[in-house]
Parts: sequence; C-alpha cells; structure tokens
Amino acid sequence: MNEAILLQFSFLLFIFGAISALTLNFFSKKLSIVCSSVIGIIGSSLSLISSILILLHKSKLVFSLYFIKPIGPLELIVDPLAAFFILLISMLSIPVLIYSIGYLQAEYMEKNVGVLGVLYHLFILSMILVVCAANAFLFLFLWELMTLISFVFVISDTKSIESQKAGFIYLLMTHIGLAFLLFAFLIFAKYSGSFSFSSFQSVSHGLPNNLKSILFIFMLIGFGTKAGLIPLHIWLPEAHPAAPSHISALMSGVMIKTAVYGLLRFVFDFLSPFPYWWGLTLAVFAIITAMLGIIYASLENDLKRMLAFSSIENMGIILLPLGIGMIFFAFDQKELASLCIIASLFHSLNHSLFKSLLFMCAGSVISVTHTRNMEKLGGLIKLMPQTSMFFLVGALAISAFPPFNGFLSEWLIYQILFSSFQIHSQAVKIFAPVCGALLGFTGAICAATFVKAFSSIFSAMPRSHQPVHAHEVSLSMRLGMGIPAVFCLFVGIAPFAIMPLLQSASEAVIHTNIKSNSFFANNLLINLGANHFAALSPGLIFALLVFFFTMFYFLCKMVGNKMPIRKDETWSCGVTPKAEFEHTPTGYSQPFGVIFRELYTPESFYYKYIYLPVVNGLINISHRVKPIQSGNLQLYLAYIFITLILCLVWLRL
Amino acid sequence: MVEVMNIFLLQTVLLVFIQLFLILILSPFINTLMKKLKALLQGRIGPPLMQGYYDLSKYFQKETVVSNQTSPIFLITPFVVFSATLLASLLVPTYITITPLFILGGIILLVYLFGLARFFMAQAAMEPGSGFCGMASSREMMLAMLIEPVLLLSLFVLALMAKSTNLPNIVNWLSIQGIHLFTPTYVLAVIALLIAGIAEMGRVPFDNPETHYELTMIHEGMFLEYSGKLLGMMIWASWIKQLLILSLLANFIFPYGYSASASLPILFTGLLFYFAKVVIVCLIVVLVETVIAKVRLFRVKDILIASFVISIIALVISISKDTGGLGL
Repeated sequence: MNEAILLQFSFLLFIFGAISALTLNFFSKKLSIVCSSVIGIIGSSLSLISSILILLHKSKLVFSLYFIKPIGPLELIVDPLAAFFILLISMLSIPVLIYSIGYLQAEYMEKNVGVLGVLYHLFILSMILVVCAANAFLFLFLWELMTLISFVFVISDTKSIESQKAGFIYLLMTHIGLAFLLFAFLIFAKYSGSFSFSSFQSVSHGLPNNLKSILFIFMLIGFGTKAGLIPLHIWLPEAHPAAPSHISALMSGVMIKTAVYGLLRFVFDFLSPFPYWWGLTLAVFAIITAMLGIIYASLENDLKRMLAFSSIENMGIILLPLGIGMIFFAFDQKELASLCIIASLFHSLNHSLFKSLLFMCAGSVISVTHTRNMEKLGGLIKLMPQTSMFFLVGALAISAFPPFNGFLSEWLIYQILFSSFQIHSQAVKIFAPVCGALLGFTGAICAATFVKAFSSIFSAMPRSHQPVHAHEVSLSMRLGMGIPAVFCLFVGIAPFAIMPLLQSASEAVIHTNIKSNSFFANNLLINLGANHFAALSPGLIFALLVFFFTMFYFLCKMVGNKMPIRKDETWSCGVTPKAEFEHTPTGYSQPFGVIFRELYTPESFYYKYIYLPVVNGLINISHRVKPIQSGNLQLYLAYIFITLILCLVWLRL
Repeated sequence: MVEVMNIFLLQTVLLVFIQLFLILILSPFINTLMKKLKALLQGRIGPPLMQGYYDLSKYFQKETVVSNQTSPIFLITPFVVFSATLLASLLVPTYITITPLFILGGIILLVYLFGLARFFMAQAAMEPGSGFCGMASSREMMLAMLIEPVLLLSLFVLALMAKSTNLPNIVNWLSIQGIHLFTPTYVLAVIALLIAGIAEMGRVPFDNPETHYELTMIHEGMFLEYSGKLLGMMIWASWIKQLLILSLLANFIFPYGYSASASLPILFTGLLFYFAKVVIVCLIVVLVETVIAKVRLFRVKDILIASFVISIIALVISISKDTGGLGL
C-alpha cells in the first residue's frame, strides 16, 4: 500500500503548502513564494510517483471518508484511469511551480502572493480529488470547487474590466454545464437510490434506452462546456488569457482535460452498452471544434487568446478518437476501441506538455514586454534566445511535426480513423476518412498559426518600443519552460516509455488488453486484423534526421566556396530596411481570412444565434409567469389553499 | 539467424544508399527535363539537359550573404529542409516495390515531413523582415492548408483500397491487381492525387516556378534572401521534393515494371521502367502547364475543392460497391 501512503502524504503537503503560503506572506513575500512552491513541488512529485506505481501495478486504491445517510458513502477511488489524470496534473504542476517562483516575483510582487499560493495548492488538490471522487455528490462539490478557484484566478487582475467580464462569462457557462451534470446525476440517483458511483454502475443496465440517450446528451453538454466544445466554448478564449500565465498553463494543460476524464468515466462505465450514434455525435462535434478552433486561432493577434483558441482545437483532436472509440465499442471492436482511448489519452498528455510550455513562454514574453499584442512585438530572438527556442519546440510539437510528441498521437489518431473500414456502417466508413483529411487541414492551419506567432514575436525587427528593452527571463522561469520542452522531444523519440501507462489506463475503461504484438519494442506497429498494417519508428526518424543534418551541414562547409558568410542589409528596393516594411501578423493571416470567409464566424455569431434566443426565451417565460406574482398576501394564501386541496384530492384518487 | 539478420541489414543499408544516390542525382536532371519539354512544346529550344547540375555547382561557388536581421534559424533552415526531404525520399517507392526502410512510416509521415520542411522554410522567410519574403511565406502556408487535406484524402482512398498506410504495401497491392485495378474509385483517386501533387510541387496552375517577379512567386519567393550554398541547398531540396511527388504519381498511375528481387539485371530494368514512368508523368504535368494559365491566387481554392470532392466521390463509390471487405 505504498501508493496510498504516498498519495495521502502529497494531499497533506498540498494543504501544508497552502498554509505556509498564507502565513509566511506576513513575513516576506519572497519567502512565501519560494517555500510554498518547494512544498508543492515535493507534494506533486509524491503524487506523480504514486500515480505511476498505480498505473504499473494496475492496482485500485479506496479511501472511505464518511457515510452520510442520504448521500451514501463518500469514497475516493483511485483506479488506473484516475491515476493517469493524477499523473497528468502532478507532472505539469512541477514545472509550473518552478516557473512560478520567478514569474510571481517578476509580475505579482505588488499583489497578495499569499492568496495566490493558497489558491494554487487548493486548485491542484481539487483537480486531483475530482478524478478520484467515487460519489456524485463529492464529485460535483469538487468540480464546483475547481471551477470557483479558477474563477478567482481569472478575475485576479482586478483593475481590468475585461477580466471581470471574462470571469462572469466563465462562471455563467460553467454553471450551465454544472446544471446539466446535476440533472444527469439526479436522474441516476433516482434509479439507483444512492449517490455512489458503484450503485450507478450496477443500475446502468436497467435504464431505459431513451433515458440513457438523454443522460448522454446531458453529460455531453455538461462536460463539453468544460472541454470548450464549439458552440459551448465562448468562455474559454476569454477566461484563459485573463488568468496569470502559469495558471493559464494549468487551465489549458489539465483543467479542461478533466472533461475527458468525465466522459470516459461516465459514458463507458455507467452508460454502456450504447448505440453508435452517440460516438458519431461526439466525433462530429469534435472535428467541427478542431477546425473552427484553429481557424479562429489563425486569425487572432492576441498571443494568449491565440493559444486559448488552439486549446479548443486540441480538445477537438482529443475528443475525436474518443467519439470514434465509442463507435468501435458500440460495434463490439474492443481492441480498436481501447486503441482509440490510448490515442485520446496520449494526445491529452502531449497537449498538456506543449500547451503549458507555450503558455509559460507567452508569460515570459508578456512579463518583459507588457503586451499580448503580436503586432507590437518582434525581434525577441536576439534578446531572449532561450525562451524563443522553447517556444519553437512548443510550436513544432503542437503542429505535430516529427520528431516531437504531437506527431505520434496524431499519427495514432489517423490510424484509428483509417481502421474504420472494419466497421459495418457506411456512414462511418465515409465519415472517418473525411475526418482524417480535415485533421490534416487543421494540422496545416496550426502550422501556419504558429509560424505566424513565432515569426511575429521573435523574428526580424521590433515593431514598437515595447520589445526593445526586453531581456532573458530568470533561471527558474527558463527551467520551468525547459522541462516540458525536453519532455516534448523525449516522448516524441521514445513513446515506449509511457505506452505501458497509457495501456494500463485504457484497460481500466475497456476491459480488454491489446495484443502484445501491436506495440513492438522499438517501433510503433499496428497490426489489427483485416491486413491492416501500419508502422512508425520514432527513434529511427529522429536518428536519421540528426544524421542527415550533421552530414550535410559539414559536407556543405567543405565543398565549394570557402569564404565566410557575410552579413548585410535586407534588400528593400534600395532604401534602408525598417520595421514598417515587415509583413505584420495581420498581413500574414489576411489570405487565411479570405479563404475561410465562409467558415469564419465572428464571436458575436454564437451570442446572436445560440445564446440570445435561449436568454430571450427565458425572459419571455418569466414575463408570462409574472402576473401570478402580484405581491398580495391573501392571493398567496389562496394559492397555498388551492394546492393543499389539489394534493388531498390527488392522494384520495 | 545472426547471419540472416546481417544479410538483411546489409541489403537494407545498400538499398538506402542506392535510393539516396538515385534521388540526389536524378532530381536536378528531372527538373531540367521538365523545363526542356516545356520549351519544346512552346517552340523554344530550352536549356541544355545538364543545366540543373551547372546551376547547383554555380550556387556552391558563390559567396553566401545573409541579412543582418536573421538569427541562426535562418542558417540551419536549408539543412533542416534538406534532411526532412531526404528522409521523405526513403519512404517513397521508386524502381522497386519495397522501400528501403518500410518500418520508418507511411503516407502520414511523408505528408508531415513535407510539412516540417515547409514550417522551417516559412519561418526562415520571415527572418530577414522583408515584405516580399513575408508575403510568399504567408501565401505558401495558405496553399498548404488547401493542399494537405486533398493530398491526404486522395492518398487515404488509395490506402483504403490496399488496407495499409505504408506506401510499399499500397504500390504492391496496386501492382498485383492487373486489369481489375481500373475501377472508378482508382481512376478518380488518381485524378485527385494528380491535382494535389501538381499543387504540392508548386507548378502551374497553382504557382509558377519560372517567374522571377517578387509579387507573383510563392514558393521561390521564400528564398529571396538566400544566396550561395544556402540557396543551393534550398533549391536542391525543392527539386528532390518534386521528384518524390513525380515518383509517387508515376507509381500510382502505372503500377507496373518494378524490380521484384535485388538481383542486378532485374534492378536495371526496374530502373529503366522507373525512369520512363517519371518522364511520362513529367510530360503530363508539362502539358497541363502549357495549355492552362496560372489561376488567380484566391481561385486556387476552387480547383482544390473540386479535387477534394472527386476524392469523396471515389470514397463513396468504393464504399457502396464494398462487398465482403474488398475495397473495389
């Protein structure tokens, strides 16, 4: 039971970290930041080790807290699936904490860092507990806690009206999602008579099919809001940029992934068996989310908003294999379904690595230039060489280029889309390859988006006075960015190090193990029936790229002209080059805007056609109900009297 | 067992070297050949057939001048582009149905390696801060967005017929079909692939490699600030990419005449067949270039959407005729 002790210790350390952040703040702000971060790093490492052990041993921990009569047992259960998400959270928490030591000192010294530290620890703790909760009541409580803490982070910039507005939208949208989840759980509880997840599981076979479909739709809306599924995404591009950058990294990196956890847990555990159209619905929404998300990102000039839109895109890419996996599951192709879940979890892991890296880089850039507008940046590669290299790694990984990690998970997703030919449904057979093509489409737009971002922030000349006096950020910030950057490359070269963890997590969802010949020691091989064969050698790709690069680099030095490289002015039709001659980010994305004219819908579209009609409808209904609320006491007494009589009559019947 | 492994390894290494050598040497020649064919069709004499090699040697003799705004990324980009393209060349079947490193990856890796090269090219074009390069970079990325889904879908349709995403498996499957190969699905998929391939090579009607106006060129426009050896590497890499796409088209349009084994005379006939097939595809591309004018930049979308629709039709036909798991 080593894992259990480690995990409990890490919980204690998070609470201890929160207390120390608050108390030490009275003595010295710096001491508070450093101490609470170090305690947090130790706590995260413990939970990281514990989650890896659980995944490797495929064990299941149960912590019983209390038994409350109407709610049922309050339990925390850590199975491999929950452990995988704990791994995600604690793995990311370590570099983010290291980063925050420098970041908070650079940016937030005039603020109350003690409160920020407390909230940070509680945020991590609530996220870890959400994925462990085995009781609907507990789950919703922690889910709400997680939302509220992140809400405080979103409105932490008290001077800006925009961030207050963002906080409001965030709170509103997440509570709509919460309401749907609450409905779903109450329906479940009505049938099972208890709030505990084990009773949900046992009652799932007895539910009528129509009710199950309604439950699924509710879950989809509830978790889809958190995941930023279009058209429920409107809070995400507002809230993520408003939070401090290290918190944005966590929100984009792990918080929205709890929605993936929710869908995996509830749909596969509580609602199976299900019809295949559920999966198709999810997949259709996912691919639309991926496409529109990245189109919005490509046209965005605000650095953090661009990253937030790209998170929406990546959530689409994560949910797509989940939807396809549900289709496979409905057609009883368990092995392919578990491959889909592996792909989905793998991309979740990769996305949290590179997205947190990119948000931290954005935080570094913003902390030295004080602007998020890419139009005003430029030329930072000479002033911040290391930050720019980390951003380049993140950009290459998120654009899914070999030899980085993003490529491998996208490759797996392409392969499972391709395997759809084994399903006897013509709709799926046409849908899946087209999805593959659209995934390629999003990939190409993603590359364009990040070329635009990288070049306009770091290349050429500064376009305003703001980046001129920029400097490289502190060591702790560079270290915080360096760790995920190294992991992006490491996972991209040796995915076999983490494959067993992913497999163990997927086995917890679908109780089948993939044949051992599917993944070989050094190559990624898929050989799943009907001659479907695909291979990929990540290590070899990396080795050959490096080999060719060095060989031709030195060969080129040796042959031909031996003169050293001469530096001279950029050719600008005979006048001295200026920053105004550069292609600006707006100019860069102008052709994209022209070709996506039909697809690009401004933000107001969703308000105008989806949210406003609902709001107006609600207002309309309340106007209709208004006449019975006259404020007259006698009238209310009459209402009570009539109700009483009706009740008596109803009971008599 | 060890000996068998050794022979296998030796054969692999040998095939890798032959493939690399073939692609490196042939690519400048094929580019010149296309120029020559185009000139002959238009009633001009055209360049001598060795012009590609003369150009390369000239680039390597020239002094390299780079902009003082650039970072080291600008200097390493030609080599990244060159290595990514060269790695891609190990995935494409040429004269023999097996590729040297079939374990390396399939069509998806191929498309993403081209993407990697393009990412660095587009980034390097932004480095000097020149308006012309920036415009070319943005347009190249815009074209890539339109080409990539079309290329992937047409490759997917062919891959679905063969039930594998590894190129040698696909070509092998096509070559053993005989007369049954010519189904509507195959024909439509190949047409879609031809359109996507021409676009990916950056040729008329999508882009014009001949033009030397800063405002009209797209792909070449990104090299404006390059000179000397670095320019040589960039141009050589785009020639290699062109040859790879031509080989892919050649092998999909005429899946015949491969060397079946690694014995010398058979290899030789395989090479001859390969060369002939590539020349025929060159002729098709050049004919298209001669009779069609370059379309306006934003009209490119229409052609590529048409190609996308053709691929979808091919897919639908293959599914509706699908009996017993055969993709016919």
